[in-house]
Amino acid sequence: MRRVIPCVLLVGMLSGCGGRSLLPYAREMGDSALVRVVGVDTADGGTELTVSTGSRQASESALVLSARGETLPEAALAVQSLGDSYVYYGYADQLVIGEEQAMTGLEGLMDWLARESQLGLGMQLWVVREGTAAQAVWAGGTRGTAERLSQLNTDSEVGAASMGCTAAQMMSVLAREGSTYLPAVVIAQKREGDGGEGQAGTPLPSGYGVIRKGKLVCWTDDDTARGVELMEEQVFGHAIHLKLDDGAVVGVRLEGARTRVEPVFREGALSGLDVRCDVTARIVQTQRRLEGEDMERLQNGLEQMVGERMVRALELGQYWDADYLDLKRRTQLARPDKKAEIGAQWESAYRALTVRVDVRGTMERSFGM
Amino acid sequence: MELFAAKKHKDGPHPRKEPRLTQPLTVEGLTDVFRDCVDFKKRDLCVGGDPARRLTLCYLEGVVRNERVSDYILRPIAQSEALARAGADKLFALMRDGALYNLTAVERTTTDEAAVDLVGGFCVILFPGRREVLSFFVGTEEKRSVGEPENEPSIKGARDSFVETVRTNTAMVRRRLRAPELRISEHVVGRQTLTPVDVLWLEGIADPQVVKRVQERIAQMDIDGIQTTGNLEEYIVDRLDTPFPLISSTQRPDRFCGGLLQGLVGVMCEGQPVGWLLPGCFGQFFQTNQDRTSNWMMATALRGLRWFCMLVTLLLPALYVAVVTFQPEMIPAKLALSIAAAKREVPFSTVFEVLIMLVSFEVLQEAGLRLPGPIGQTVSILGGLVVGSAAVEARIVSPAVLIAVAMAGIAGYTMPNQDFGSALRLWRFGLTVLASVAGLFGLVLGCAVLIRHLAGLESFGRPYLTAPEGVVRGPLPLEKWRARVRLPRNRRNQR
Repeated sequence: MRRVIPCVLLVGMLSGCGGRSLLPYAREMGDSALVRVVGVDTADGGTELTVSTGSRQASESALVLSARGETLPEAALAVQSLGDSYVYYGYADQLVIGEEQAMTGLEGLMDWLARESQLGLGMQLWVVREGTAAQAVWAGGTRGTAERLSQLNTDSEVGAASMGCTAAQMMSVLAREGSTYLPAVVIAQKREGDGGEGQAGTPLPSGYGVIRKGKLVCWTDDDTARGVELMEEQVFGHAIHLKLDDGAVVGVRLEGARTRVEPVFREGALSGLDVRCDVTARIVQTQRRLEGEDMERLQNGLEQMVGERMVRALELGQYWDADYLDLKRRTQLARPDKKAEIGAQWESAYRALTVRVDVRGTMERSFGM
Repeated sequence: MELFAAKKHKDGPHPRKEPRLTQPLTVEGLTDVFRDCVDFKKRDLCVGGDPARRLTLCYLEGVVRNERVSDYILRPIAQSEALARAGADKLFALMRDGALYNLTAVERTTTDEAAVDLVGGFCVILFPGRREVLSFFVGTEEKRSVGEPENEPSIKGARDSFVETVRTNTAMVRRRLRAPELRISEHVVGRQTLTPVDVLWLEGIADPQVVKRVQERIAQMDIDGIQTTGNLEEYIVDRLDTPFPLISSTQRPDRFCGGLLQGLVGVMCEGQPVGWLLPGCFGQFFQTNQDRTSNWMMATALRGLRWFCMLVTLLLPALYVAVVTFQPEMIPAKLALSIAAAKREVPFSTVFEVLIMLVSFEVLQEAGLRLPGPIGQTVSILGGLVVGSAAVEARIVSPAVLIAVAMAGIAGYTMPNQDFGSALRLWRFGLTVLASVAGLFGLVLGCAVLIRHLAGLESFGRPYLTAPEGVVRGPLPLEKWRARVRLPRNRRNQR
């Protein structure tokens, strides 16, 4: 017993629990509102925090709370004072950032995420294009926005939505390269005649927002967004259409892409980038039987389309001087013997690099075509 | 431990009276010993019909079988010409050496021995003017027939089980282990019950040190009597400050013999339809006889399942309390939302809910056990289904708690040994309370205390926290060695 008591005390002190009580603090789940989505906007020089719980019961709608504060912790405290339950952030897995907030800067938000014990860096990030985070959170209605955003994240795996990004991923890339991209959503307005005139619709995928030095600098259009995904080799399931000379439309689904970036040196100086992309596609719909010449044309069309998209994505980064596609690291990995030279010259040379994109497409027929 | 050791002091505050009976070994003496006993009978016999040559036969009615007395004792005395012609000393010698048709004929010289013989189903013949008497076994041998082991059913295998008669039980063991090396020593335990307790072992396999230790502990038992299995178990185990069984018991002769073959020492007791195998160890309580009757892969899977169920029954309620109350982020989001929604209507705290359900579970089980079979089943069904669902619908407990407690309870029934399962149930309460105080930290602390407790246990000098055969039951042709931890004298068990 003389050995047991000091051991127990030692274990207690090593438990990490401290403050007023040595023991962890208990809280009943029934008294808690489990936040699934957190929205952050700027408001009057401060911050507006909008949170949404999941749908707790079939008969019970999701709880949405919104409050403002000078800082995020103050706003969170104000949110806490609104509801009839303890607002618990441990289940928050979607973080929506308003456009204005993203343009103002994300450092403060990331710092809060990193330090708040209930929040985790595994949260999926979304930037609202031409809107606020509050709009996106409120758009979820009775079921809440969490399910919709989770579904968007799942859809990205089959090419139906933008690629997801967690807070941890964004912070690590920003710390390393200073630039990255975040998936964007836009709040669709319901069209007349669909029974919901005047109401905000669901969040829809809308490409990516490019982040440079912690701030949103631009958005990608559709083709550029697809170019980003080609650069990241995340194209499985992408559906495109190509036209033949006679006007026949052929539906094609991308099966995979392999992209390599290599630096080009001229007289010891970094002068350009060679981007090589091997893309595989499969014909999934056609209006007539395809002959050998048609296949050749389709392959050329595929290579041209993919090349254009990649060029747009690459040029966007150069225009904004934002290496959001992580090209520096990729070139260093491609040429480890030139790692130091690339690192030293990248800042000054990046915008002026000559980019050459070489696409090689492989077109496959589906069964019976 | 010293507290319990004090009870084992030999002839301390409760000295044994030696000799037990002070009366002389005469008809008058035995009559005095069994005074006020309506079943004590004595009868004068005339040897060869000669009224001048009288003997006295004493017996206890109901304990002896009348036909045996008549055929094997009275008839030869009355009709044997050899006995009729013999003198007094010759008569005694002839009767002791086989003139009476009885397998068991012993000469007694003390009243203690003669009285014990009478109680044990012997009849005693007293010779006028002689100090010695002769005892002949003519007991009724009424006993329950060998039936199926109710507590350890077998799907594929032997279906006999031990009965309340120790000699029948040893015979069943002899029929399975025909090796002459099977040793059986007998000790009489209990001042009032004088119960035979047998120790069985296979010489050349079992560790003689364990045999000696078992015999010493049984010999040191100085109690009024053995009425229940606990009377024996609690007196021979190493420690009493643990709910975990330190020796295993079985109703099955095949399992008992399997234990002897593994180098264990067996103990049997008159009046108890079980056999004990010792030393016991933790892993032993996850093994069943079916492990060796089914395919080795299936047996391994089932044994693994039992270990998993042990963790479930021990930890699940505590884990539920810790996670829901202290570390809710461990629960998947959708499940958490469901639990939170159900909990909103429940007025009690989570730990109180769990403890209510655990206690209710124990109450239902106890009620089911105490009632006759069909009524007990009805109570269990009513309690489990009707009251449980009603409690959930009335928002007294949340469905998740009901599921967690029910799963823990059902998982506990997979334990082959009920005593082991009961120990786990007892610790389950403690761990749940610890989890309610300090969450996962408390639960881990409780588990550390439990492991320390188990690691400190010993059974007849062997560490308790061992699993001699492990979780994997390998193919029998490859299981060539007896467990090293049992220190058998011969480890090899097959070619």
